[in-house]
Amino acid sequence: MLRVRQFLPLFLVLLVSSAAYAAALTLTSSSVDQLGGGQGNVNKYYVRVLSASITVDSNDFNNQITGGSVTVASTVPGTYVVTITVTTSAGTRTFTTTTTLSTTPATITFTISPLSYTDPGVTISVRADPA
Amino acid sequence: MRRLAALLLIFSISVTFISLIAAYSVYMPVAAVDPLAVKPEMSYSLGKNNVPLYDQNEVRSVALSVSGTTVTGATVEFYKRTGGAYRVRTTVTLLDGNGNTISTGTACSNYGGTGTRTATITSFTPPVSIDSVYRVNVVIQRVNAC
Repeated sequence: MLRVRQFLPLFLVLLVSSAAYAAALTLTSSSVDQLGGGQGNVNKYYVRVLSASITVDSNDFNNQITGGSVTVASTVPGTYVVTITVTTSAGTRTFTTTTTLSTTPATITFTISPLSYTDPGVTISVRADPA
Repeated sequence: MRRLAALLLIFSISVTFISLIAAYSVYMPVAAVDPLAVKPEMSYSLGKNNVPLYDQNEVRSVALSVSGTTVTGATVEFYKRTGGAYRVRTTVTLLDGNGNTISTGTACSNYGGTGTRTATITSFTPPVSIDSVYRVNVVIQRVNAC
């Protein structure tokens, strides 16, 4: 019983100080602690690709795609890893770059190793992930 | 009195333990969290035709026009490989994330010779937001009448 009485003030001090610190963390805005305190919004982004074009090595029917350009924007400004995938029935080529995107469209020019531009056409996919 | 002291001791230890976890745990600023992707990708499909001596034209580029977030038009450049004067219908289809067509725009004009030609689509029906568009299909086709 004597031991409990001896340590009780220590427990109380620890309790009060820890609770005060936890409360201070909880009150910090835009922060999330492990008790769920604090609140903040997580941005959600949409990628907007407003144009896509290809460059070819010739005007012959059996021509090849050597690159192109895309115009890209994101609703949440930031640095993104942009992956451009060019696909025809002859194969797939990928181009990756890291760039800053904002709501103002940015033009990204890309080059790829030659890829036959076959019918029925080409698909250009543009993906942006936060860097 | 002794039982009360024991209960108080257990309670104190428990609360202290929980408080210590909360106080010294790593907390995470929301600013450090990457934005959440709702639509991280868009794709464009540019058509190429292969009907020898009749239609071997191919799309080279497409640019959407937007007003705010609404898609209002498109400019398509294609290479007219098959010579002669004839009508070409250009169709731009906007698809959602499930592959469903949500809007369409068309243009049809008479073109002569060979070379790069431009088709301008001035409206999409129905009007849609660019944020609803996951895929853009561009098709050109030689037609007898517009």
